[in-house]
Amino acid sequence: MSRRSKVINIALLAVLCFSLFTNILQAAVSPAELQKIEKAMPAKARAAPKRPRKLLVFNLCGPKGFRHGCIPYWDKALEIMGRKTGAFAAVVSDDMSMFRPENLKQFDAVCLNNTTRLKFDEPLRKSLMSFIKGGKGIVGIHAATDNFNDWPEAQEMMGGKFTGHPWRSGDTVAIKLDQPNHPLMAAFKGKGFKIKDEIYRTDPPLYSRDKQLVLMSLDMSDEKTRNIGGFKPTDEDTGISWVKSFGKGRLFYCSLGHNNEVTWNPPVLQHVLDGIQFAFGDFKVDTKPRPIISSGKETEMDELLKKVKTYDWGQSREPLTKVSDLVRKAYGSPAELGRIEKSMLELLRSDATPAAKQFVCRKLSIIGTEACVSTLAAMLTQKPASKQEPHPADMARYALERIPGAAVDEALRNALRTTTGKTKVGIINTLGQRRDSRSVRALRSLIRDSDPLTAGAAVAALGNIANPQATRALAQAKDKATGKLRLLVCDAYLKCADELAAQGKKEEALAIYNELMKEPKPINIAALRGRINLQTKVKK
Amino acid sequence: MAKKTISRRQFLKGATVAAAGVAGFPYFVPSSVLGRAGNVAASNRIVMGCIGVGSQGGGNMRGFLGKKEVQVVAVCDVDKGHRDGAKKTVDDRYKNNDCKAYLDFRELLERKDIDALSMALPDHWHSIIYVAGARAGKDIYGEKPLARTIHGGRAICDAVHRYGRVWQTGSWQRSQRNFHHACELVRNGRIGKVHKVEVGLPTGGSTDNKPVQPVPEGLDWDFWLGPAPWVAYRGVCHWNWRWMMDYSGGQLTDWAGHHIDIAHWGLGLDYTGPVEIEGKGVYPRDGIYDAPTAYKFTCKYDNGLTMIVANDRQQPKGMGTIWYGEKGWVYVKRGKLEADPKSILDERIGPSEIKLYESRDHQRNFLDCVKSRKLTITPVEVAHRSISVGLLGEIAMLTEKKLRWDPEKEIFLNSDEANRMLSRPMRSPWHL
Repeated sequence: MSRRSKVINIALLAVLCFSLFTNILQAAVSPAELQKIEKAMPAKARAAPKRPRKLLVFNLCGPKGFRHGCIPYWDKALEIMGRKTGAFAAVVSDDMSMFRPENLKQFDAVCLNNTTRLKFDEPLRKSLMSFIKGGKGIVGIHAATDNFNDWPEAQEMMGGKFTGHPWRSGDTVAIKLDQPNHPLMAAFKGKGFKIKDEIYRTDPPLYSRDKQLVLMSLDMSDEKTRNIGGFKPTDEDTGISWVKSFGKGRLFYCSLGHNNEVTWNPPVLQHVLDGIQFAFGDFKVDTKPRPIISSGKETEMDELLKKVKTYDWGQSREPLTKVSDLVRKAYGSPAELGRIEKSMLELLRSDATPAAKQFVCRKLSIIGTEACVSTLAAMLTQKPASKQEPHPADMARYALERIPGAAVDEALRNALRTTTGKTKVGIINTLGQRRDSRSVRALRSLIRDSDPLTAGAAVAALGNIANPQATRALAQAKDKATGKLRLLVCDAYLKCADELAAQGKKEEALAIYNELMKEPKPINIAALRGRINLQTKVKK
Repeated sequence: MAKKTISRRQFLKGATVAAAGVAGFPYFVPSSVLGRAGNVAASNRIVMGCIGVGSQGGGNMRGFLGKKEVQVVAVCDVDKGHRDGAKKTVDDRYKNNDCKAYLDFRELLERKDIDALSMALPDHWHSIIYVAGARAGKDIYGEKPLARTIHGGRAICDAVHRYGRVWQTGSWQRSQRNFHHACELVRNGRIGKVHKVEVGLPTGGSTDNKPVQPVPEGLDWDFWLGPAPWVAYRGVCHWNWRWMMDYSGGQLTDWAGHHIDIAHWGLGLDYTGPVEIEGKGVYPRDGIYDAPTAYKFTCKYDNGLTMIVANDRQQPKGMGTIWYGEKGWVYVKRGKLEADPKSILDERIGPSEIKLYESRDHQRNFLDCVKSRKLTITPVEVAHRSISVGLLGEIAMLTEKKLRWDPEKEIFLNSDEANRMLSRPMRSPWHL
């Protein structure tokens, strides 16, 4: 027998011993309770295992760690889960040597069943990391975030580090679904719920909506939940379960399960089963973080936006000021801003007053992302109800013009085709400000528009874009244009020449200046100046 | 969104910066070419149009009416009251009925007989109307602050340079003896190397909350708003637009073109800007006015210099500009010049020392330059750099962040929000 297989055998023996040991603990679970677990357990898995799956259910607590009474319940529940649904086989253990590479490799995922203050030495750290990053899964139940105190990478992997449980086992808390349509959330049928359980906090920045996809979290709009346990403003976002991609591997964490009766709560069991299958890789789901928090601050923001909705000029703008304060505090945090953006877009789609919508567009102008595009693009084709209110297209452009992204350019270009008059002029202006090179073709044909404002705007936009195509378009337009439009074309053409000169394309710039020297004042003066500047640069 | 290359600006800017090195150095294009023959009539008369003839613009116009070589032929304002009053003032001066009054500045700009413009409008109009003026080939006396946004200011500089126009900013303190003397002392090292400068500007007043009301007869409210977002009329328009962020930035931007401008002049920083800005403003939480009433921000320059700009109540010396050097300080404000040690005030600037551009009459300086085609005492790029400090402070206070700024490329290096505030989308049909 090789040395290696000897180790494995010893390990397996150890597993056996500890299984016996845990069996003793499991005696704590009464037959009646076992029956409840068995009954509450889903009959089958929602994903078909790609191959027989093996889950290491690990339940050791460090010397200083708190040992939860629910550990045997979860050991049993997970065993039953695997057996009843056929999704996996559970191996329960509290032997650290299970994390050695040679032992670990038989498993498809590790489940930390309420382990606390676990300590990994260097070889075991390496082993676990290469296990997960190499494409396996890790699952955390309730207290599983209370580990790896001096191991930041593992804390990062878990998506948070336990910082307290202001909500205790006797408290009933409200939970809302942040991703109601996520496949792993099917168990909750799109509805938030209440549950009596202890809730673990993992403070930011380790816990972050920018780093993991939070599936559900505490509902701070529920007064009781909000008032329990010395709620602090910093605690506004308390994730309940989340997923995350880590290297090639996957993490699923669920903070529920302190109370024994959670192990016979059917939706929670279904959710955990789905999460475990995700950790195996059997459930291919989206793990892209969504920087949208819908928690305490949302309540505050949404309360304020409710007031903003009816704002009109001449009224107190105090709610507006408060919204501005919250927005300013969120600068630099995509998660916060994303949440605010979502609420603001809802207001834009509602029957809010034009003054309120204008205010919101001013804010989105600074914080908006491509998520705004569809709502704002719809406003580009709306008409104001009266002359005594801002034009929806002007408001939408106020936001769109400063929002980066190709999707914005595209929406503007599309709107060019469906709008007329001043609305169209505004869109042309915005495309020019954004220097959207892909709009040159459309702008070029607008030079011939019968409306002088439209033609003039198109010319100016081309001058602002000033790329080779725009330059060519203006060169051609110059010979056909007359009167005021000709002056505008020459001005835009001059800008193109200046651009070329700045890029060091002296010959091309000079050709344009020479061409424009033939124009009347003030174009010829500007052309001469351009030529002199060009020579000055050359001399240098 | 394609980022605008800075290079085009650099191209336009380069020549002027070089020219500004020596005051009185001839402008690049020989004046004969730049239309001396056409722009200034053979009789040496400067034909002028005045756009924006309310309080400040009316005052500027009256000043120009007092200069013999000026002939004001047109006035323009979106308020009939201003328009008619200005026309009457002009006609009374010339004892005829020839002055033409316009509502739309574009019609005035089409007049080929006008050489120069005097312009004084709410800040939010500056970029559009100054660019249009330069594009029409007119020389411009334009009120400070140069622009409402940094991009707007850059567009004005580009247009003025592109069309080779003579530009004078209404930062008239440069044409005052005490300010000029203070700056020459500092520039010539009389207080040693300067490490700190404090700039005190006025504190804002109380707010107001007027109801929506009918637009007064004769005021074209929609035109007055121009590129700014449409809002209902609430009885605040002339003068008091200063306290609303859509149109201006409060006392801070109203006065940045004065005491910050002077601070830059004394330091020789006319063609650059700070590299780091951080500060805090106090904003009215309700009412129609929203510009900061109290404000304080710190700018760090590349050479290690610190500039602290604040409302006067937060400055030890109150209003004005004070430079602190290794050997003492120089303090200047309207009607006052102090120094420590006092003795330096009596010192003469020697023949081999730096002589700053000298003008004792701001409007006269403009008219002289229209004729000579030379650079004025407050050229457009200088005005842009002065108001940029105010606008950068405004953005730093709005974002409540320590911002890092590249004065060459004119972008923030560490804030997306701040970069978005460098320009403002305009209401249709207005654009640059």
